Amino acid sequence: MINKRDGRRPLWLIFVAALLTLALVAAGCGNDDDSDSGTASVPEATEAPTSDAMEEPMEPTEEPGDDMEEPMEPTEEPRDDMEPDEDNTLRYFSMWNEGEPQQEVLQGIIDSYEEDTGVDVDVLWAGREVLTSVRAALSAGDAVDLIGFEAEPLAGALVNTGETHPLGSLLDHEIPGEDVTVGEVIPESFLDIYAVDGEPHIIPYIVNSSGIHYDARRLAEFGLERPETWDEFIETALAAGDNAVQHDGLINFYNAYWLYWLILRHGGPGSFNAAAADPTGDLWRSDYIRAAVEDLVELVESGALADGYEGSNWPIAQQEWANGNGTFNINGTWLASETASYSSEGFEYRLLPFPTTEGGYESAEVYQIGWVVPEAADSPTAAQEFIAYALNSERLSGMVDVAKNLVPRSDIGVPPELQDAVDMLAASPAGHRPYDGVQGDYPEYWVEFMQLDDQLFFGQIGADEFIDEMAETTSNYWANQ
Amino acid sequence: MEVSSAKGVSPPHLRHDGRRAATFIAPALTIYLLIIMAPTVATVWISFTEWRGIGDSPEFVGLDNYRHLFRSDTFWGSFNRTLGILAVGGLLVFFFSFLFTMLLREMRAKKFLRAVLFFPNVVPPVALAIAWGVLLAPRNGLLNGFLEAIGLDFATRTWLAPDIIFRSVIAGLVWIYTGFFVTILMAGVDRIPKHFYEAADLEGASSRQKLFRVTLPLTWDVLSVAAVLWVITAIKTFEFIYAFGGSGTDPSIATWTLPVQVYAVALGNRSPIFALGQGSAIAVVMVVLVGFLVVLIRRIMHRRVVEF
Repeated sequence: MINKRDGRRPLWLIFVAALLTLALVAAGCGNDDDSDSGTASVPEATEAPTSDAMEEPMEPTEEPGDDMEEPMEPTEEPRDDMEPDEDNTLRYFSMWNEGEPQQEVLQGIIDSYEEDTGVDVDVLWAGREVLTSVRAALSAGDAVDLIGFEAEPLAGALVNTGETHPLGSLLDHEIPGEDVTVGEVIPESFLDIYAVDGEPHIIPYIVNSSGIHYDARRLAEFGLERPETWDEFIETALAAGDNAVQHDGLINFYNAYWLYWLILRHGGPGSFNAAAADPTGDLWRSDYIRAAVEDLVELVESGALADGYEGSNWPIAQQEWANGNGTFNINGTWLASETASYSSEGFEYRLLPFPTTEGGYESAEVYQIGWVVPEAADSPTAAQEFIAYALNSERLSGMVDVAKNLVPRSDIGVPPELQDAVDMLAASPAGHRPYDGVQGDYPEYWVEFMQLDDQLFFGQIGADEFIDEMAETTSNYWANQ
Repeated sequence: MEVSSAKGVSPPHLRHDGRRAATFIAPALTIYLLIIMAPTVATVWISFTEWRGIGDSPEFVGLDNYRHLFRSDTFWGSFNRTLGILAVGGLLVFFFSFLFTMLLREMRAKKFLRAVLFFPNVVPPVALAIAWGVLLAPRNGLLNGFLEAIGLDFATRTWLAPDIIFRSVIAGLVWIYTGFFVTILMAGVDRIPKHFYEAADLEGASSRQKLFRVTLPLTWDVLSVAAVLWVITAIKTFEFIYAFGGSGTDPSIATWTLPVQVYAVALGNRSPIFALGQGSAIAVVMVVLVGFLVVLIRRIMHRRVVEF
């Protein structure tokens, strides 16, 4: 306790002041060392096209992702070749949880890689919030050499902000055990989607898509044909019994499937991204948006969606669908493997490409799961060598045979449940990013969008109000940037 | 009964010896400053920067993060839900806590029943949230199934629908925390000498009169502490809300509160934003809110300490 009357110095005050100063200095200056280590300017992804750009709907053949970024200036020269690492340990952060089939396949690859190369792979099975773990590791100064996750969040969190290693040199790298290079087996169209300055930054090892899944046996029981157009889909769903369209409405990004797909059917690939990127918000008042919104309202008001879909918590709706209590479920192509353990006997998995609209566009979603090498990796060479090693057809085939996923190598087979997805991708005149890249390019805007989309999808607001709100939200978002 | 001032007087041996006092205080103060104050000060500083916290450097942007927040519907949604838990949840928690305290006070098995009520507090909130999801599922959910089984079909609801889900969250939080506050209030009630209640009985006091004339005045200091604890608990509750509505997925935005938004904006989620500066601004708003409400409660509930 201080006794001011005796004139002694209040030591604890000095102590407090010193510590506060220390905290401020630490907070303000702690990362100065990083200022020269490869941070990039804000990518061009945040530069929005003007509304004029969308007076005409986009050409379906346009490269998805081209509108998203003018590549940033690389802060250091990309490597011409893969130099040896100083460290013999590879620190790998993966999106899979222990026990998932994909994890088991990757663990097998890791085990044989360690045995063949002597490199120690220190792997963290972090689950779907792997980037939270990555962020914690990087901010603590711990090196992360390899990250495996969905391409869109990787693009939004790391690639678009210049925090990943260019992987162009890896394309010429021969795949161990085979007489081919990485670039010869991974289609350029996949690599180009997330390319920066002409160089790929994400190497996919799984390729998914999305569409409307159905049980062919159940459709036949109702004597119904597979629908092709949106009108046919609504008509078929209404004739396919109660709760025909099962949907887990508590997952915001599942709800967003419907409107995003409808916008792309009416406006073409890139049209949703362009609306999100319009600083005036006026593109939300375009005809193609209105047509998409009205189609969604038609579905909501039709009664085809299962009772209580708005409060269905994952995975209840997909369980009911797989148990035969529903006909359709919009989802990613992982649905077959996700529901295989509880689907009813005789369930016949089929995938319906998202229904077409009159005078609209056709394209297929290319949903990649892949690897990135962080710019700050300690062992970038080992990381790239591991990627090449894992892409060996024999090793990667586990993803098909065991995990029931599609892989980017066309010379590896296809799980029978996913033949429809392969046909859909092959037949489609164009590909597009999941959610047209809005989720990856504008993650904060994506949160705003999903809330209004929910209100529309749950019938809380109508088409006019939704369009007005989206236009205002979009212009406000860009005004705040 | 003796009433004394709340302000104590320092014992003589602690007077006139600031240096010795500082020596004793220094270790605890150092730990407090390093673990509590330094991160808080750092958070305030970060809230004035644009920083992803992932290898980049913070850039000072002044009040931009706050301006951005106050224009964001998402922030105000989270803010209002947090206040909803605080106010509505608080009223319900204290109502049920007093009710159970009064009921349990005279029961023989009160220790056992108190333990039963406290039980949700020892189960991980994530597990409880998942259990509530199963309970409230729209079709085949236990609650709707029960209501149908006893002929109350009209009472079934889509309990997790967007217009109801947050009420369901509050109901879950009230269920969890009532036991905790019953335990605190009962500790206060148990120390009230029985002869006060006997005297009240002899004078023909009703249960309501005993509550307002005996129990409340003699547990006022406990109640004041409990109210402060509730403010802090309500504003920082995270895990239960995060896992409510399903496992393995991001929490529905319709359930976001301020701490959930801090996590989603600054640290993680499946599709991360990594806006550490903005997340810190939300955290600062939370700290200010807690500070303001704690001071307010302490002022409103300030009474002279009753000793008995």
